[in-house]
Amino acid sequence: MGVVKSPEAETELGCDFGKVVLYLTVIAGSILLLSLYAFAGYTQVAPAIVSQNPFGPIYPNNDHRWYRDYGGRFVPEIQDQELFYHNVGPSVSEAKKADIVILGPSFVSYAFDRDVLRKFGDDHRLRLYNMSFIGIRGGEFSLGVIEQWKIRPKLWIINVDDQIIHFFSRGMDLTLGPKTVVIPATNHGRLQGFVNVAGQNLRWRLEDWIAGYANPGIPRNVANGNVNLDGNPRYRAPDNKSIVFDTGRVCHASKEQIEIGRNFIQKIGGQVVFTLVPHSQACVQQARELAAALGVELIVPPFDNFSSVDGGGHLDKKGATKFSDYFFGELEKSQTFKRISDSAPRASAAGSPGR
Amino acid sequence: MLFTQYNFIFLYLPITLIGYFVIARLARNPLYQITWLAGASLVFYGVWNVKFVPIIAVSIIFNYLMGFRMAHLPPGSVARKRAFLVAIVANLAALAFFKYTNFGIDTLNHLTGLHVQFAKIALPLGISFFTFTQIAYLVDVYSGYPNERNFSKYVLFVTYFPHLIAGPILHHSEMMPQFGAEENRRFSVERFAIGLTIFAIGMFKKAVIADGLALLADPVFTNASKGAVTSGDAWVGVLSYSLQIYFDFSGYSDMAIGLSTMFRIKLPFNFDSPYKAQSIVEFWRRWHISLSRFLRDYLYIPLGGNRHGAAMRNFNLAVTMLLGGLWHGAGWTFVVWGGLHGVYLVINHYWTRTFNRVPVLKSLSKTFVYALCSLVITQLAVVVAWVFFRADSFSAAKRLLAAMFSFGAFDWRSTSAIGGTYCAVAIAVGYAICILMPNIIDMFQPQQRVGLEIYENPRPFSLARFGWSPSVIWAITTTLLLSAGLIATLVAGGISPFLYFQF
Repeated sequence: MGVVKSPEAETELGCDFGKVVLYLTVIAGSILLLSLYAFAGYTQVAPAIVSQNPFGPIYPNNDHRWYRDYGGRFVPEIQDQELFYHNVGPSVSEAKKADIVILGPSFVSYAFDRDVLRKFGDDHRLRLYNMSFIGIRGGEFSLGVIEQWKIRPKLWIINVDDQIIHFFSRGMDLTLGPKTVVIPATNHGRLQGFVNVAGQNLRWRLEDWIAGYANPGIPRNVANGNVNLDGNPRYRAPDNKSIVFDTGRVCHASKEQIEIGRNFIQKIGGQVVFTLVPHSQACVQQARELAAALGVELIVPPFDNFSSVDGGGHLDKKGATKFSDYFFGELEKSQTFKRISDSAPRASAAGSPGR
Repeated sequence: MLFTQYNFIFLYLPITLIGYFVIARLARNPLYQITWLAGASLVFYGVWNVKFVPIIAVSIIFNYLMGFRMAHLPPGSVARKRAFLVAIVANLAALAFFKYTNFGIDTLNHLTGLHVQFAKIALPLGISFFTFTQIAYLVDVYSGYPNERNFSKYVLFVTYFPHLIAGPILHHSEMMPQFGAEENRRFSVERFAIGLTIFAIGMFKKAVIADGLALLADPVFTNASKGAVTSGDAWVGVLSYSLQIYFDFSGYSDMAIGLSTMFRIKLPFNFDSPYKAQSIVEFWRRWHISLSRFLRDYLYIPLGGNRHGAAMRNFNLAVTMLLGGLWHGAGWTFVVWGGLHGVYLVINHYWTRTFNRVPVLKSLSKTFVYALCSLVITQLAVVVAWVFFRADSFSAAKRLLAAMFSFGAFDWRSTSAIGGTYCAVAIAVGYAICILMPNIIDMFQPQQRVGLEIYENPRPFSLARFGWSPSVIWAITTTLLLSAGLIATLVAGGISPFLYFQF
């Protein structure tokens, strides 16, 4: 006697319904597992897995205080825009804990020596965070991060530079090498931010694997935002040349810059000090006018004998130490700093973790 | 949104699909289901750039109203003819404005030495596709064929998201009856499984193979636009691009068919192993089939086709292919690409006629050697034409062709793209897949009837057919293809749009 098939057991094309369901279950289950693995890697649900997770951050020398920020063997890429703009990983929460946050482009990443920063933080029991962005010269992006994630330190240090575009301008451009584009992170949502960061780290790992060695790139500290430049042989080279300054440049603060600067300061709140990292085109006169117009103290070292890794404005170790020593020496004397020192330090502040 | 992007796969698609079939359960009137899908398709389009939505909306409304008007005017009347001409001219004018204005200015500047400023015109995505789709509709309404006047169906016919951005170019007579048809309204777990499998195949072709080959092709074409390239580099770049464009576009078409299968709507197959073609005539029956059909039915035949002798046929072929080239891109290199294919077709017809008259030659036609030679010559002709299609300028194309055919200097070791041996292996594997493997028509059409076959091409040679069934092997294969595609998309960072989007 033959088995009578239920009409529901077959699909319209004659396949076994159970087989089709099993078929889809295998596919869906596998994709779900892969997604969960990637999610765990990025949300750091399981730190033990994360250190080996190809979708998670790359920790140079397995030191979890640092992540690879700048890299790319063929196309230079940087991931901190995604990390900050979409609050991926702990960077934003660390910045929120800081008493002093520093803003500016890559010149600032290079100019504030991390040893001097740490000592200053330890001496004054303050937590400092260098929130400068490589490749981004305008301050609009920083403002977006600050407002979106409500970063509210006691003191802001802002590099009021005017190379290509002024820090106080409306630009949202990213310039890496010869290419300038609208900062990609600003064009999509937070979910895509997570996906992009996971993809970028996976891409870098694949590039390393194909090339047969790990590209150190530029690591960035999770806790204080400092970049580690030791991978650049010129950073500690003794024969780096001093910057040749263009002293004949005529430049003044425009009404627009002053207006944007005023709005910027109002929006971020807290105390503000301006500075100007030395570079060949830096214009002290413009920075002074801006500081005077906005009633902000300006700390600029005398522009003499600053060595850099590229002859431009990216200071080397010696130049950065000299700049930072001068800056923090003057900051300690400033009225603005006295005002924040008078208020009680944050309970959590105990120097800057990490180096 | 790209079909390969996560927000499309994990957000847009599930919502659209669930909504589509839930509405069918809740509402007996199929118009709700059709409206949902049309709305979702417009959302899909708007996510690219919301500013383009009014443009496509105006195009749809205008063409629908013109079609409606024409259908209610007496056949053969002056008013009907006038309405038809207005509609066609308006469509072509819009296409010319958005796509060819700056091309015209550039040409004018070159010819006259003037420095006319380029116009700031953003090219609406898929404008060539939705314009051609609607022109075909208007031509057929004018001729008295379509009798479907439902506006929601018309909107869905134009905007249906699987085809909207990069084709295939749909024909109303094939699509409109499917929308809301009773037999297609309910969810089918089997159709979904088949659709998902085809989608996975397409995603792998696009995200893994095509985008991987782009890593070989792009540096060569970039270098060629700056200066001389070596013979090895030129071959690597051009062959890689030849494979890249095939896997990119056919991968996209597979994904579109897979997606549409999930919605139980059949799309026309747009590719049928074109690199297995043994003549250019056959190539165009297998490559971008929906465009070939459009050009044949709405350009070549109205021009006179082959009805007025060989000379006129050759002329009509040349004009059709030149305009086909221009349709692909606003540049003279595209025109040359089309022109080359026009010349190839003329030579092909001449050869076929001569060949059939000479018994000795005709007797060779069944031999393996003849088939192999035909395939190689056809492929070589196609590859040479791709140089113009991809190159930024004539000088870059000239450099590449000079390097390719400087046989005395040829040396595989002269490749600098990524590594000579790896490049050669990648290209060999790519061509092996194209020539030896089955396509989705072979795998799915005999049993599952997943798409519409516009041309009844004879089934070409394949090592195996790999007919689909809901087996564990197929499930694992689909999972691997999909996972590889998802990971490749992740690695690529969502920066690799489909090549045909620009057309």
